[in-house]
Amino acid sequence: MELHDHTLIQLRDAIARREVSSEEAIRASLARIDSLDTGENGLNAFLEVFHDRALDDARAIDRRIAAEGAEAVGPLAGVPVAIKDNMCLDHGRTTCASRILENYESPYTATAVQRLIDAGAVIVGKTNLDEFAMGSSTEHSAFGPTLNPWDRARAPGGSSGGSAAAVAARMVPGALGSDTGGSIRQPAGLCGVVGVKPTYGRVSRYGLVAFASSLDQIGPFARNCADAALLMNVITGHDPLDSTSVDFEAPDHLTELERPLEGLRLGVPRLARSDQNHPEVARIFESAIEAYSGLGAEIVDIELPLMKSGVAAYYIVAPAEASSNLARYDGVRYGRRAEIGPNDDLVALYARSRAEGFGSEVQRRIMLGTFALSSGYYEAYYNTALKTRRLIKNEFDAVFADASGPRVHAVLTPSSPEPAFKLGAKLDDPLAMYLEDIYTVTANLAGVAGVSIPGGFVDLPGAPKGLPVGLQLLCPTFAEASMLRIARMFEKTGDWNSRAPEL
Amino acid sequence: MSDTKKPQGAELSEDVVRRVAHLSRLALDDASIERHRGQLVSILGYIDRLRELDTENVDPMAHPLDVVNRLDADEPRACLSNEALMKMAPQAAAPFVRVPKVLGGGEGA
Amino acid sequence: MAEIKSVELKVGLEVHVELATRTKMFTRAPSPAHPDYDDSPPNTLIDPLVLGLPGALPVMNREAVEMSMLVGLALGCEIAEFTKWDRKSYYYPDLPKNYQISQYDLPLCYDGSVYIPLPPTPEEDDEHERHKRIGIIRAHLEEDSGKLLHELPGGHAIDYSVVDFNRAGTPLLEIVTQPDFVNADEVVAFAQFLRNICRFLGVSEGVMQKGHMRFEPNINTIITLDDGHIVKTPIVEIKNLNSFRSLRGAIEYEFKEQPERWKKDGKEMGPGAKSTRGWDDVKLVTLMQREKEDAHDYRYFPDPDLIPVQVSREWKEKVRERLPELPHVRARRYIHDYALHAKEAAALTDEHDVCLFYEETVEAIVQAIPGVLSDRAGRLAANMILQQGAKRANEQAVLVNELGITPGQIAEIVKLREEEKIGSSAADELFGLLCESGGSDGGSALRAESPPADKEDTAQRAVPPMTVEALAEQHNLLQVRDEGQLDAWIDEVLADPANAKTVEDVKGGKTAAIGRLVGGVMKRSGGAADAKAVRERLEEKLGG
Repeated sequence: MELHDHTLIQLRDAIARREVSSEEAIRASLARIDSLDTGENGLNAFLEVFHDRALDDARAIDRRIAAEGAEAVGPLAGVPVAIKDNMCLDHGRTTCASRILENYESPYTATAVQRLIDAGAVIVGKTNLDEFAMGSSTEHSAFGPTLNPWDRARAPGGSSGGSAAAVAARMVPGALGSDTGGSIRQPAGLCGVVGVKPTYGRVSRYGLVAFASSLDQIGPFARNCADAALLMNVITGHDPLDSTSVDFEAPDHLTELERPLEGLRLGVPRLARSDQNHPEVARIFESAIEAYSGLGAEIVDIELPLMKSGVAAYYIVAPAEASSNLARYDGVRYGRRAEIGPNDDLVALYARSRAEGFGSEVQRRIMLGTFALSSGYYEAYYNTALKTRRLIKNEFDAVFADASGPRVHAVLTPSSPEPAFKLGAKLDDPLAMYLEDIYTVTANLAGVAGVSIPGGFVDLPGAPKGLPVGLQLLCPTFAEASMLRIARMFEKTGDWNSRAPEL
Repeated sequence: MSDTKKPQGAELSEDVVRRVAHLSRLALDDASIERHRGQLVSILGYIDRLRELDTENVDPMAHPLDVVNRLDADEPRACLSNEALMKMAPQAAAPFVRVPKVLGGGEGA
Repeated sequence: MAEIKSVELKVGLEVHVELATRTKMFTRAPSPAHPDYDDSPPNTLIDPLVLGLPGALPVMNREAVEMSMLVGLALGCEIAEFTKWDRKSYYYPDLPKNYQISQYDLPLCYDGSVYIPLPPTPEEDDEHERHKRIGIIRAHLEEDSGKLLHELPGGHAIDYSVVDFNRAGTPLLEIVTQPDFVNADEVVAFAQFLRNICRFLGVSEGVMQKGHMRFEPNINTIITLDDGHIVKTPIVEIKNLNSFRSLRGAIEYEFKEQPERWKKDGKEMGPGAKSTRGWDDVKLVTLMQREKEDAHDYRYFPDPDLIPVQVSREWKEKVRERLPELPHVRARRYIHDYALHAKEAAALTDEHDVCLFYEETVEAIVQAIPGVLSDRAGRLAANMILQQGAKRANEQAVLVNELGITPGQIAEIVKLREEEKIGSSAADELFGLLCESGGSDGGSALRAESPPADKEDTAQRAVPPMTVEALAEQHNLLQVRDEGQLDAWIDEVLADPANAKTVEDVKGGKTAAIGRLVGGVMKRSGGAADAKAVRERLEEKLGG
């Protein structure tokens, strides 16, 4: 087995046992990135790779391991990880895949990223995304799309497509993404990796460049549930710098991971079995349901009628917040500033800097969000969306809690209605792209936890053999530990995690 | 998959789109305004399905968290240096950030 | 057309008070409204949140909430049990995020009222107190903007504008009154009253030149025509007035101008008729101001980066305990307990630190002179502070408490005087000497600790009794009653040929002339002689 084939925990343990140095592990990761990511057929998962810095960091970790032992260095001592380029890091650039921040250097590091570093991880680079995390294909990156490692003609999903592809292509064993409406779970599904969207408030958003503040949440990508659980252990916990970070302690997601949840009841919403789905996705989904049944789980048909209203509510709430969050990019204090003439005023400076700096999807959402908040439309759009949001939350509450205990422990759906789509297929139809999020957005609206795990592979005509299909589990707030246990139960029934794309 | 219900957003006038572009501080030419209008109409048409829900007497939910009172002690922490700002500002007149001449009005919160 | 018969004025006031927290409202960068940081160089009180950098998040400052609650309680407001933060969107270079975090529909404080003291009218004697009730609609918290400058420091002209973000994010309490004012005097009285309260509460230094308080009056007039019709002129909001003088000037100007404007344009109050004007401090006129571009569509919505504030009864009561006795209440107490005149009481409570200094002095006098009654102590302390103290404070343009003399020392002077060990001129001179020798313990207006803490302060500052007396002795200020010494001086005076005429006068029965001789002896003694003893002795010698 080559170094890059190690899972996160395997690599961590090998480094801890001093069978491999961190420097070797980082070299292997960098070499894999160099060979797969750039050039004509390169996956373009990374926007920036810290070659020298990562090796320096690795050597420093090696010295510390030699002096103090790996355990003292931290649970991620010496392993390479990647972070989505909408997380601030106090070196390199933080671009959000946007022209407007093309040369922006953050003077500080995001809390979640700092926690990785404090745990001994080495940040090898920053991954590609849809500009400001707005999109479901990573095609809306100002620096070119990321390609899906399973089929370079297809999109990896988005917006965290770079992180998903980097883990799927085994350039890194783990990465961080952010999920506002499915931006971790959908690309995890389309790239055949595990992606966790933690409960809102579980992971600090400090230093995550905001898209929609009441929906955004950082979460890990990994090749299996155990690695994801380890990353969750590292990044979760209270942060005084984020008012929306909850101040109760996060559990250890690893200790009980292998223990199946007894008396598991899984809810399957009607929508998840509707004709929304690609037939191959439907097939995989049904076999997953069977697999869980085979494990003794009780499958409960549930309604969740508002799941189909999620996208509509989401595409008001998220753009509304985004229109405000992105107002700060005005070319005054930092970032791109348009050339203006001596007679041009401030409005021209703002409007041109922003029109030049933002791509089409970001502009579309700013327009939509500004409209939804503007005088005369607030009630009909923004407030109606917030009320729908409440109804969606109530619906989850009813499903997850009952006077006699939980009706279901988790809701099971496909991660998205179809396997990876061709690059460009939905670029001209924003609405079709938005409907990629149909299964994922409600979790963000309600603030509950979700995970996407590899559910199987399908063969599509005209595609290389085997495209991954993701399975989504949605769980009550702060139930990530049991959510990962439920995911792990299924994971053990197949070998999808060991499959690697042919690259 | 897009909804075929007659989009109510179709009433969206060019003037409204221009006003929204101005509020958004996006310099859009006529063609872009028209393109945005079309896309907004289509998206709002889909979103209009929310009006079919009974949201009367529903408390709007702006945020998923139920917690209150995250309050910090009033103790100073380190600042960024003026040099850091001068380095990131597209146009500076040290120690200030420079903008085009602004005439009257608006100053102060 | 009907002629104007009479014009009435109606004014509501918005006041912005910069709260003097150590750090900003939503981040822990130091705040320029705090005296420790108010002269920081431009663009140094900055951090990722102040600059609106990507990824920065706000965390509320507890002290800003509590200071706002203090002001709210002092203004008789209800404190909201539940309040939240909203974003107000507009683009401006001094607003880093291009939205301001404010409170839209749920202000922290609301529905209050205060009785403000009004200056006596000329017809009334100045002992009479007049009060007026002013309703408070709301007081909400928001963050201040930075500063947009159109010239460089030192007045260097530039053909661009520059921004200083130091002020950005400073907590700002916006207090909105009912339109209860009918003239500029009332508005200014309220503004001064509010400033004084804020200083007493320790929530602001209230230095107008530093922009700690800014006023925005909403002004309109009600015109009665001779045909009985009543016309209301459109409301004019005057932005950003930062002195009492300009506040008065702008209101008085509008009171005159609005009827004239109406005569010209006929515009009356109504939707969309409100306008915004600025005050020109040089030309003494208000000028039409361009509104913020986005003024009509701020797109308020709940800030999703922040969670609400819930004020429990316990929290509110804890804050209420911090509420010191307010100036107007103290003034009433002084009038009642110490029999001070309204004017004296007002002078002593005008400045927070002077007020505390006065109370410390009263306390020190009670301690220093066994058996003195507290009303007597209050009178004696008031005399010293308002005479010896105020005179010097005026000359040096400082407050009495900043002169260098301590309450304990004043008490010692009073004691020496009561014991007739020194005369009045010696007391004055001693006061001066102690001001010079004392180190400044000025203390800023912000040291608004509760009274017990200040009493400890007094104990620390109290100087051992001997020191003041020793100083008096050193400077020959103690009154001399030694008969031998007095006689020596008296004999010299009587022997002086220049006094021969006066001596004759006195002997001839013009007893009033004896004062001149007493003065001569005092002069010869360098003020050290006990004037009463001198007079007695002279009367003995000359009257026989």
